[in-house]
Amino acid sequence: MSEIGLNDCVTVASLLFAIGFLGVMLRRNLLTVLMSIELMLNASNLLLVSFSRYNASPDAPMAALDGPVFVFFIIAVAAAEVAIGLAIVVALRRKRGTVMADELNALAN
Amino acid sequence: MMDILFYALSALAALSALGVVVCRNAVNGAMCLMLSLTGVAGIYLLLGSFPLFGFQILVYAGAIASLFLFVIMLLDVDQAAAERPKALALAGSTLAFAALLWASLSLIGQIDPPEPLPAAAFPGETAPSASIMTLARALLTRHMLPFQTVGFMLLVAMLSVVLTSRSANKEDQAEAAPVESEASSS
Repeated sequence: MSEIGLNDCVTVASLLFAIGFLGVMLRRNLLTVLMSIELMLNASNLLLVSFSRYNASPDAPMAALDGPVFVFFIIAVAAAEVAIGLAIVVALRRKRGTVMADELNALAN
Repeated sequence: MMDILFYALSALAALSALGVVVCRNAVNGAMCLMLSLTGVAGIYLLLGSFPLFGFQILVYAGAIASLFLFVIMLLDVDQAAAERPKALALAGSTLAFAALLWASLSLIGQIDPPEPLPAAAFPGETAPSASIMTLARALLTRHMLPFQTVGFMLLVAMLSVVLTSRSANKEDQAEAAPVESEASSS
């Protein structure tokens, strides 16, 4: 990593986060919204890894792995969240017949 | 060489992320998501965390994105009812996107980031990029409590999926959704 600095990684992560945010705001298909949320999670994972990499010091070698370990947990949590979210979408589709957010405008029928 | 790789991988990640947001067809969006996750995995590789590169491809791009594809194909979203974004929603979302991007990017350059230390600066085998043993050691000693808690959480998630997929209606029992058992990957 010769000239790639922390700022470059933060730029990429901010871009990914903003694009995911755009997807959540703009799209009405629930599945696309869930995929955009995954993009935002990925952006924060990238931020964690890059900060941990650029702030690692041999004085605290265990602390240098806090970033990747946290990302490991976030990936596990994201997996669980996607599984449950998709189960909810499937149940919703079965009940209401649609996955478009603007047609799901009643808590009970 | 590393710079070219980094720029190429970040371009891949960002452009495919844009593809997720823009694609009308949900299957195309899921494939773009897979591509974006693989790009981010490449950036992890360049940053030196090799186990994360593996987990990202295995779990995120391999399991989570595939799960999205399964559900998209299961639900068979009608393409004729494809959404057209309203003008106000498009304008507002783009404005919010630009504001968020500007706010994040304006923070860059405020602080001089430290130089990353090469792996040789770490004594013995304790460099983060030395091997997966360093991650395993940290996971099983320093982060044992979250590790066990995440395992328990995955069990709870699996149970929730099974319960959510069951239907209260007896006639729907026959067409209950298949159980997602991908939570055993970590």
